[in-house]
Amino acid sequence: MGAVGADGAVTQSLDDKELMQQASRNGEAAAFTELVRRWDYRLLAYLTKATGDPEAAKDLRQEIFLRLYRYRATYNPSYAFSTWLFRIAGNVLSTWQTKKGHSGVAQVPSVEMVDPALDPGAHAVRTELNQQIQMAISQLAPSERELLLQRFNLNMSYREIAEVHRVPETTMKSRIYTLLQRLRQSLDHSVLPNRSPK
Amino acid sequence: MSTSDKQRERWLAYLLGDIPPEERDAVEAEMRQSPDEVAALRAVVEGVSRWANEPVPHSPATVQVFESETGAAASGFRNERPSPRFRRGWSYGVAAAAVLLGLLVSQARFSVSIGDVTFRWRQEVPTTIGTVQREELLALQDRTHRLEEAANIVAAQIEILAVENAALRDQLQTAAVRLAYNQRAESVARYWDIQGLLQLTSGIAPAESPMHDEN
Repeated sequence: MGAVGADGAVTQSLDDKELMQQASRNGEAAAFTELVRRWDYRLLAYLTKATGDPEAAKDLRQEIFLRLYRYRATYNPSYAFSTWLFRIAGNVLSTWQTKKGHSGVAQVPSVEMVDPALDPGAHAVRTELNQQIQMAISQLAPSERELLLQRFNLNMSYREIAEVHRVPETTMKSRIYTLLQRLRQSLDHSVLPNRSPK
Repeated sequence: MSTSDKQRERWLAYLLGDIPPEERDAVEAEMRQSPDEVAALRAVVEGVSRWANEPVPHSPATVQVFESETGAAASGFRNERPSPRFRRGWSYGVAAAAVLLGLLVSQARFSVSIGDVTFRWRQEVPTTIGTVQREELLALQDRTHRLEEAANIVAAQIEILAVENAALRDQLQTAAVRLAYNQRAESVARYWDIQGLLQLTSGIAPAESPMHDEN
């Protein structure tokens, strides 16, 4: 059941941009609440992983939604809603990082993937590899983790990510490739999969 | 075979699906030459993807909290109630006035008591109205200081209220002008409706609108 706006329109049938425009023009809380419902979990997951601090993520989520509402009149409909949302999120994260003096080392929960096709030795290597990747990710700055999340979790296009960060698309693409290469270089050779013939 | 950053970048682009179809075969052939490096890059891409999509505990409290906040703000827009800032201004003003009044009353009582009281303190200071204790003077100074502060707060609040009052007056004027325009437009529309009806019923041509400009 969708939220019903003040004018009787069912807000659930509208896309994010339309909802934001409705909230922006009429200050309508129902349209905005629907947006919050849609993005609540995705934003929390994003912030939890970007900060590595689940409690801080909850506070930041609240702050982002409030800013989104407070500055709704400045929303530019020529951009996607997600661009607007994550631009605000980036600013809030940056302020948080400055205030708290976070170095970028985050507690990223390790991922334990059990593949029944692997023998115990191979499974141990896989686990070790995953742990190393998690550790390498935790060493990145929150703003760098943001880029990876926008690409790998939110499936945003390079153009959209570039718009969020106000840089050319090619620059953004290059930044993401560079980040992945850094992660690759931080891995210990002993845990890397070996495919070349001996 | 040693691998350059450019090659790695191209292979990463391939693994992320960023290589156009017409170039994929060439990149695949290149990648077959360095299976270890490709496997390492693939492991990184898969690891990052797993990390990015790993579920996190969800606390759905935000919506309720947010609804209460936006609900209050939105109802303020819809019902044209005074803004929260304006209401806050009034409450500060009332609080400051209460403090001022309280201080004035206590000061008055204190002044009266000076004449009546029999001073029993050890350290006394001669004044024109008798002798008072040094602590009493300090208390008086403190109260005077607080009184001045309260007066400053009230003065600031008066300034804020004056600005907000001016803004409200402007809004009222704009609304009055809009209303006048609306009424005028409504009158014109009604006039032409009546003229149309008259024309239909009596065959008389409609007269010049009284709202029409003379020149």
